[in-house]
Amino acid sequence: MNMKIKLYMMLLVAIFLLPLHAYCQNLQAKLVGSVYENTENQPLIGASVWIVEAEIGAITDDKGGFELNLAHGRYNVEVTYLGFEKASFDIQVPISEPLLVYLEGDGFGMDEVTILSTGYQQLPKERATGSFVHLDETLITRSVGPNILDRLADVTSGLVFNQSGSGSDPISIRGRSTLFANANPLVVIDGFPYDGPLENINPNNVESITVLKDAAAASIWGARAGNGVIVISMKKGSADQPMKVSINNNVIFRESPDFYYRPRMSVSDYIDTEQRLFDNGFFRSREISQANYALSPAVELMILNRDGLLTESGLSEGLERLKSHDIRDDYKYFYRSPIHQQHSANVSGGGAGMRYNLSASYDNNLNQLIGNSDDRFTLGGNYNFSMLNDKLTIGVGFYLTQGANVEDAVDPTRIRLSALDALYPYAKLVGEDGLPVSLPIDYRTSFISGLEGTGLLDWTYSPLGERGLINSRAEQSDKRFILDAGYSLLPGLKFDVKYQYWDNREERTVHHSQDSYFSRDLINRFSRVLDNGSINRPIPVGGVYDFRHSLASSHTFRSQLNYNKSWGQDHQVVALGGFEAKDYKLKTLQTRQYGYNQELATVQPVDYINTFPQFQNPSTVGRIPYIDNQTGITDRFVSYFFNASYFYKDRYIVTASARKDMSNLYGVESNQKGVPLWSSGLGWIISEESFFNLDNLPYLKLRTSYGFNGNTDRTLTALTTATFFSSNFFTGLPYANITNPPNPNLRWEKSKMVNYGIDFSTKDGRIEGSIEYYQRNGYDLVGFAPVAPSSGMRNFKGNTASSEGSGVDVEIKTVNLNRRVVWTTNWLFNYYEDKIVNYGDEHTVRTMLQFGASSVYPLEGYGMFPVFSYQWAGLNPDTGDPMGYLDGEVSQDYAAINRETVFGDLIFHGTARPNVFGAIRNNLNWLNFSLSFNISYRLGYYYRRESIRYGNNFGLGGHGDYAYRWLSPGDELVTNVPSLPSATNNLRDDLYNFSSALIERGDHIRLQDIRLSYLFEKKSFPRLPFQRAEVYSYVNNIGILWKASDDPLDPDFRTMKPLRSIAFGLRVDF
Amino acid sequence: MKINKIKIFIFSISLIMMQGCEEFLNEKPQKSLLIPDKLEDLQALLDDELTTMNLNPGIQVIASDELWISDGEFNSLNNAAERNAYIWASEVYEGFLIPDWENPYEQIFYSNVVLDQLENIERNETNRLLHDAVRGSALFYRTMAYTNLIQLFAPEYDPLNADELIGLVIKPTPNIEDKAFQISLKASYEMLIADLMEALNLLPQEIVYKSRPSQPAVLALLARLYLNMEDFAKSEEYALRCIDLYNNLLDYNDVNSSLAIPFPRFNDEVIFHSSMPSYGFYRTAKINIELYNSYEENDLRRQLFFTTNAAGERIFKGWYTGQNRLFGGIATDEVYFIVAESKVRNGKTAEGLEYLNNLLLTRWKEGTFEPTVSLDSQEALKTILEERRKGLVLRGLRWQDIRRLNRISDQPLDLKRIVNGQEYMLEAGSSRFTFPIPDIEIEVNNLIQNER
Repeated sequence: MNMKIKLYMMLLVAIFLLPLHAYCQNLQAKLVGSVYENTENQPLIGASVWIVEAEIGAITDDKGGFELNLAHGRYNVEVTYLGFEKASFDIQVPISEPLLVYLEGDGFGMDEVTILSTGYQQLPKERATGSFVHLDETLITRSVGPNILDRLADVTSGLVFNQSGSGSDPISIRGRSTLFANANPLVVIDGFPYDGPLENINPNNVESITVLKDAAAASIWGARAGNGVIVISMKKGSADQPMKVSINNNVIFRESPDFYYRPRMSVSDYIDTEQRLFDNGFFRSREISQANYALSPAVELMILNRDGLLTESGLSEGLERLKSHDIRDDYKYFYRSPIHQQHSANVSGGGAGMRYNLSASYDNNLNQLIGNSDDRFTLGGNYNFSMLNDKLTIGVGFYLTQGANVEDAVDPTRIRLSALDALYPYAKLVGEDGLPVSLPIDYRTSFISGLEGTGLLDWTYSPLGERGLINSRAEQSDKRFILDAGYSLLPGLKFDVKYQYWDNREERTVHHSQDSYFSRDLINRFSRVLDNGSINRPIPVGGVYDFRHSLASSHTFRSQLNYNKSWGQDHQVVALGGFEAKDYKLKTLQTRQYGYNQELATVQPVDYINTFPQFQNPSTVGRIPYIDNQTGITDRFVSYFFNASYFYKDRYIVTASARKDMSNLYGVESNQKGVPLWSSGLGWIISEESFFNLDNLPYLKLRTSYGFNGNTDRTLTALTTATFFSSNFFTGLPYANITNPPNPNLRWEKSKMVNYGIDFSTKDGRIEGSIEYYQRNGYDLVGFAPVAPSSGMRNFKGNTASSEGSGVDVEIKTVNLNRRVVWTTNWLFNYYEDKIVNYGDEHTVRTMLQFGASSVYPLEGYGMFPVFSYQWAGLNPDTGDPMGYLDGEVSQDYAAINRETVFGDLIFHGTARPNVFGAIRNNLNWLNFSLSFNISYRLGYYYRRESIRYGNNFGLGGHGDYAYRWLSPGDELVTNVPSLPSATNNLRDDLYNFSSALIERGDHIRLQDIRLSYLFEKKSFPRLPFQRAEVYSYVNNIGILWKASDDPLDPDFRTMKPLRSIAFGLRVDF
Repeated sequence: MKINKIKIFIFSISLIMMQGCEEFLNEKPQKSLLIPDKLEDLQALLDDELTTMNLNPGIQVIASDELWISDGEFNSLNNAAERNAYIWASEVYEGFLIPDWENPYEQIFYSNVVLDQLENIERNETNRLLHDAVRGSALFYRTMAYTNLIQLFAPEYDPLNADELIGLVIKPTPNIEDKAFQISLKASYEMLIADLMEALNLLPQEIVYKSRPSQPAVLALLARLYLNMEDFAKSEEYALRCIDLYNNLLDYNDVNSSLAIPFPRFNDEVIFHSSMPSYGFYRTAKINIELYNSYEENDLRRQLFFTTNAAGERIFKGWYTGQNRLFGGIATDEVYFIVAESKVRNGKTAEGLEYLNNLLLTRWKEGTFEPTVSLDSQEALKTILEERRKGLVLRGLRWQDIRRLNRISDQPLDLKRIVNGQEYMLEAGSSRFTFPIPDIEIEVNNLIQNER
């Protein structure tokens, strides 16, 4: 029997067996009840319920509920919860109704209950020993945008958005824990890791987010927690709450891209450089090539002039005319200001023993490229009810997302010349009258015009005319179904099963219509004009239709035992343990059809086997592109987990957590070697001690934790593996490629974290917050081992590296003014530094200079992203050649500098990712107006400015610094840009581009955003048809307030400035 | 009552946890992943023709005297190794890796993986043929790779002191972490010959797939190695044995010279297919005009091997790969040249010329070829070597021919070029006829670098 079927069976057994217990009546009377916070009707989790006479007690569960068995009689009940007044009252058992207890805040500023969620349990912040960050709904809805993760930016302590680097790790929690394995935090939604794209989660449906930062917080997630965990809780109803309807609508306007932001060589310099290259014969090989490569209009004019067909004055006139146009002026015909709309509605409520929530939303986005848009519809709901005297609770939930994406646009920045170079910057994409014009991009104009009358399809390209000729449509649907059943076996002992089915389907079709350049070009390239004038077309005339389908799905099953127990009034234990299994599958299918006729929906067969001479270059042959393929991926995990907390006298906390993961990724043998990942923590609420009587500091807690999290590199397996291909083009034989050499010692990566924290609050909550210090050590990190090519592999990965890091997270809230104007400030300060302590492979100086700051090239003794440079000695005053140092002497021997410089000779500046980052968020409330603005800062890092690289083409089309190059003696006093070299010299370019002259400090402070809102409330305006309504406006990416460098560009946005946006919205609660 | 509930609970939990975990986790993570442990899988590894097994070095073509490029084209070469090889600079790679070193070692790694895995597969009556063929193929591919390496990265063979010269960097095991090491030139050649001798008994006589090794391929490679070793008796013997098994020559009269690519891939003359990396240099390179002029009007190779670019310069199109990639494998014509040269050197001048004439007959326009007869052995050798250069143009063999002939010829050849106004020269016998070993290899494996 396979495991999956077993899981379903188990689920059925669990559901059918459990109700049977209802018939087993208990002789004692049962006391059930719930504890709530008085004002907000919010359940209090972890409150202590004490029956004085019976000397037994209970702790409320994650719905605030408790359950006790008592003999008939009269009892005094005491209910306590940190930060709340103790409730004490008498009851008579048996009692017919569930007991509802409401606690009042004690007025010391701790009456806001923060409930953290680890995905396995809910716990009040005061009872945690680990490092958590909690974002409530107010904070999540503070910013406006379609993406849920963006809402974490600059409001989450210890979490940073990485602006530099490859983009594979957009977010880091407490730094990067791995070298080459997955570096993204685990995202958990409603208790289950989410496998789909986060674009499918509508932020308006989210109730709260908890970020798990240290081992004690995250180790319950074991081998997937190495990068931290982001736990998202969707909105739920509350029991005994009348129906609440709320709607939220907003629209965001964003500015269109600024293509002049990144400095490029001017059009005039471009054409002059083309002339210089032309005179050196640079374009000759392309001109005489049999491939009929397209040449720029300027080069075409130069050829005419060389061949005596154009006079000197004709040439210079022609070139001047070309110089008068900049391609970027034409981009406005292709780009626009994007507009994003969001509409959502939410209904929630609850009655006796049940609660529900239903939400629906619609988003529409007009992309910055004219012709592209997408929309998203989401529908979600959950329903929870209890039966059998609250012994059995059942929850069902579903979340559906339907997204559609339309791409009809032409992106002019992607047009290339003969697929080799960027398009010349004076290309006219649009005629004077705004009408389409055609331009040569792949083949010379003379080649195309020479084909007239041959019967080939039109071979010209017109950017504006192309819009809408290639229609790309994607439809995506994402579904999640959750079933959750809990049964109280005994008072304090509860058995839970949870099951989630998730599936995500995406279907993308790209129809290159028959009129599109793509189809015409492809058909023509394979065409052959026969002697009798007829045309043989291996690719039939018609459209080209691509189809891609992917289906991902997962089943996750979890069974869990929860145990809550008090002994005497001083001892409490909360524990859980269980088992989890997951089966994830991904299948993709891709196919292409030729000769597509949209009206008849017919296609035609083609010959994929034989080669055909290419019309534009008869000396080459090609096969008709065959892109059909299928893939299949299966991930399986089996895990056991355990977590327990012990509280003594409500002020001492001990926690422990462990997890063992096994998967099909590494092979069974490696799994057996896997050690369980674990953590433990201690907490001490000093302010509860009798000796502690500082009235101004009503809350002070110390906590510490220690433990391990894991990470996986799924590109590796312990076995020799090869990828199989069905047939070689030429021999027809099946063949295989070795993808992974044998590595029997492979295992999970481990990350150890030690955390020390202080939580505090002064009187009335004027200043409250937490300060944490942590150390992080990475062990068994997967890294490249030094390997020579003679081994036959270009690289070899194994568990070879280790790292260490440490940091400080400070999060403080101050109430600066609390009168008619309420002014509060949230201060976030984070510091992090890391170092590779053990790494076998060594990189060359040049590799580190080129890639060290942006990609992971670990270097022992340095941080993850070190910025190095050659020491700069300025420009040679006579020649403008760049000068560096060799053996301490000023030198221009570029080959020797390249060859002989060692790391000790380089300047080490620091890291490419900020050491210090944070934000200061000010919130002002006056009457019903609220104003909030966030100032973020990133300090202690460096970046390399882009500049001109002359390469083999005098820097043609390169950076705008070309205009500031050294031209004559004296220029070296005002510029660092080297003179034009006489011949290609890449090492000369390297010296300048990797020199200290181009290193800048990245430190800056920016005004990130402002939010202004006005609240209408029924209590102030009794005639309003709703309870409350909020009108808000949100401005994002406002600008830099200060930066360390003189460089005019934004340190974090080197190629395109962060685009400003403004949003307007309305939120109404009925 | 309580006991009952707990029993049921424990039963439910154990139902899930006890069984089937291993089975559940044994599922292959990726469908296309294969753990190569069957003979068919090992054969599939060796059949990775395009990206691994049938590639050979090409940098020696840039350094030889068959092609040239203009200064502008030289300056626009992106790859430092190509520029440096063209002007015979002492520093060639500037820290970058080159396919000419990497590809052969990848082939050696694949061969070693196959030979290693074969130890775990029992040879029996049913799998005997395939088992032998896989083993023989792995040995051949490994030797072919080492032969390509020895002609570039080791000095020319000298029968008198070959045991004192450093030869190949060898890697006998598939284990990535085992170090590679150097052995003497003599030991290198002995190893290659021993492996080929073993392969000869394992491989089939017929050439079914041109991308796979066969007995004729082994014999031709033995002949090539013995020619390098100046053991002309052996080179004659093995070349003749090869021709006994496979002697097909293309009649160039039947080849259509108007085609952009006249010779198909895997054509009748090919014994073992292999192609060179597509260096940017080849895109614009033009044939040495002196060499071009040496083909006479009625010599069909003039039209079949060459064409004219838009500027009127002569460029090459005589690829035996069916595409515009240079051929670097083994073909029958090379074996004929080995027989002819060996026979003359062994004093059988007339017989040698006969083999040459038989070959050239197929290269000339029908009825125009005049056989070369009755020359003295010196003139016969000169003619054969000139014809060898013309017949095997751009097969990647010229570099090795210059190296070996400079050692034994009384008229050694110096190479000269003028680039960007500067004259470069590679004198006969220069240590720069041997390419340097990539630096990373020297560092990791603690090897001795070739002198440049």
